[in-house]
Amino acid sequence: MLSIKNLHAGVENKQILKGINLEVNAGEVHAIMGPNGSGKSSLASVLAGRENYEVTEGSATLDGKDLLDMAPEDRAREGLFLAFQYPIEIPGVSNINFLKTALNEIRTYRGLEPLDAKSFLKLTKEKQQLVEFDAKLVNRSLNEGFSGGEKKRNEILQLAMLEPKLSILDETDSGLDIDALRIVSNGVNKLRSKNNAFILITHYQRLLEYIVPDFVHVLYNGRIVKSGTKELALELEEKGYDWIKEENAVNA
Amino acid sequence: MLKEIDITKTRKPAQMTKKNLYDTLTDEFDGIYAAFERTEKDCLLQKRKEAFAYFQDQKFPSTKNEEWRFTNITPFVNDTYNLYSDFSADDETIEKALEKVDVKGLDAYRLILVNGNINYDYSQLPQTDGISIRSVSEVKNEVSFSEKINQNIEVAKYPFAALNTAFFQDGYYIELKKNFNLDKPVYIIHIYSEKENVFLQPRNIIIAQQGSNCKFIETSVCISKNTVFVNSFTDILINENAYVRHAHFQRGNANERWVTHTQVNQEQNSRYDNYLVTLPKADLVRNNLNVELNGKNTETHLYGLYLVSDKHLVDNHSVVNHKYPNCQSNQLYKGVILDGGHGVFNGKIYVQRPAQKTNAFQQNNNLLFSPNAVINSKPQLEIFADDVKCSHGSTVGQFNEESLFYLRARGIGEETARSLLVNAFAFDVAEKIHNEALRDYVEILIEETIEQAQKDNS
Ligand SMILES: Nc1ncnc2c1ncn2[C@@H]1O[C@H](COP(=O)(O)OP(=O)(O)OP(=O)(O)O)[C@@H](O)[C@H]1O
Ligand SMILES: [Mg+2]
Repeated sequence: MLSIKNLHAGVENKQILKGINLEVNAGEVHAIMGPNGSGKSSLASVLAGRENYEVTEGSATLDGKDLLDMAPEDRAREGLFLAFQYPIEIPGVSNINFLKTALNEIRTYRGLEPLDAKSFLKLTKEKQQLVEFDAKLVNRSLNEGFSGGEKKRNEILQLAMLEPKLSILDETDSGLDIDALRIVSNGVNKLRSKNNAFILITHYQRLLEYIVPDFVHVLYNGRIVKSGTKELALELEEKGYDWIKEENAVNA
Repeated sequence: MLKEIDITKTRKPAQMTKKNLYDTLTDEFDGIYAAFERTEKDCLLQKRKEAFAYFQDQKFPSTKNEEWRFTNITPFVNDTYNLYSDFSADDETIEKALEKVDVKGLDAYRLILVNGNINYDYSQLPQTDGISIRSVSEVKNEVSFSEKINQNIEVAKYPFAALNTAFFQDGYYIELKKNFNLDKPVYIIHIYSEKENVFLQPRNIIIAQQGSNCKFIETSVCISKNTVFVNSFTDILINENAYVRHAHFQRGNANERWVTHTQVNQEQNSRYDNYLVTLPKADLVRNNLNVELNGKNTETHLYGLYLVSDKHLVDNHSVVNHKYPNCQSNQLYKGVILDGGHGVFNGKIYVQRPAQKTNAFQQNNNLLFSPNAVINSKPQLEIFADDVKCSHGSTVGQFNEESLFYLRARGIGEETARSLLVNAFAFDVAEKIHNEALRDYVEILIEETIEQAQKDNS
């Protein structure tokens, strides 16, 4: 589904991604871990099309289509979803109106009729229950005054509404209380299918107990330096990143 | 109708040489005045003469004039214009114009003026004695009209108002009778259809008698390939306990120049709400909105929203003059300046010594879409009373690219995303509009403007 080959990217002459290779197939869940500043969010941003990143080498395709060539909205319409590490507040744009606009633009792109008001409300209600999102928040301005956890849950509500092929969750677990973490994880597990895939960027093994990954990767200094199964996450939890850093210092 | 024919008779053969507007006005005043003399009473003639003397003395303001510092009108007044206009327009033109300014779902009476003159065929006026709507040309010799000319304005300070006084021919005269409550808004549509370059000066007046209540929506539309410069003056007189709501939509094309002066006079316990929405892309839009508070316990709300695009200049000047105790005024102007656009805001609040317990607020917020967008914002407050609550402020912000990316990352196209964000910025002005159809209209106008700007950019 997602195929990243030798991806190099940077910001203003600063190289951040230095040759990422990653294959994600339908039905899989991949976890990406790694120390602060290693380039995890940058990878997500480059895939989603944030404009300040410049790709200098390599490719990224979604179901064979060149992602890097597309406008951010077209990537989303093709089925890419990024749950942001820091969702921003947009005063004056109502959450519900935003969801409706997004959903209908994606549907139009896919050759579907826009949803009428009634079906839209029904769908919203259903997804809202799935991620146990407070109905009152739906009518407020987008993320305005939301608590950190509420913002993260709003990201998952959007994910549930838009039904993407490939979802990247950038530290969605950070800032969630224990109950919220369980609720969000349950939501994601219910949304998992053989037709979609997830990349979970996280610092904590705890999330991976709820959403069990097929693969775990360690991103360090702009490269994926280690890949394994869920046991790798346990090992990192126990030993930290020093041994990874040392290994790579030796190799470099 | 005859009066206008008189004026056109004074017209000289078409000039081949380029002549600036000042010279045109100076050369033609005597002839036009002679025509006025045949039909008008002395008190009005006297005011015209005086006003023209002021104008001649001051000439068109340059950027050395503090009130015009950021708005250079020289290129516009250097053009050559005719001063008379052909008052007719065929049905097709009128219908085309009406279609352009149609507001979906608006339930309102309609007052249609063609080149300043009421067109009764297309108008749908309220059928009641509670309100009287006539052309200024029909009422200009009635004392109730002529005594009000420049009653509340120091015309010497306003060259365009002086000019309008000297030359105006027509416009609307609306009077609401005592305690009359008009059930629906009146949508006033000014249509300008010109076969030559013209300088037009309509004069309008709204009188809301004691305890009356009414809503007006006003707009102008040009159907012309020529240059049209409109210098309009509107008097709004709001008597005790009356309430006037006044929405004004301004949208145009290149080669249109608009200078408007709205002079509001409020007596005690009255209320006036103004919503001024300006969209691209006339060459020049200069609005003067002056509110004189002539009694205690008044309430005034002025809301402005301006979207300014490339080669478009929008200048809003407001004055609110508090002279009596316990009055409240509130101004909120929000501007979105697109690439190449230039916006000007200047708001003045005066609180005179007797005006104790005044509440006066003023805020101007601007959003710049590009480094190549300009705003000059100057809120001013002059307070001579001590027991007052006043504040003013002005902000300028850049368009938030992060917000744009967030929306696009959810599949929302760039254009739609920009419109959503501009609508969000405009929201606290738009939400103040009571009428739902008008609120929706504002949203659509914003979308169309952003769409057009995107097209112009690519
Ligand atoms: N706009 C920018 N300008 C300069 N440097 C940047 C910019 N954005 C990111 N970086 C740098 O790129 C590196 C990678 O940042 P990134 O946010 O991708 O890390 P991360 O792995 O997500 O870290 P964390 O775990 O703390 O979220 C960091 O050193 C960061 O400072
Ligand atoms: Mg990060």
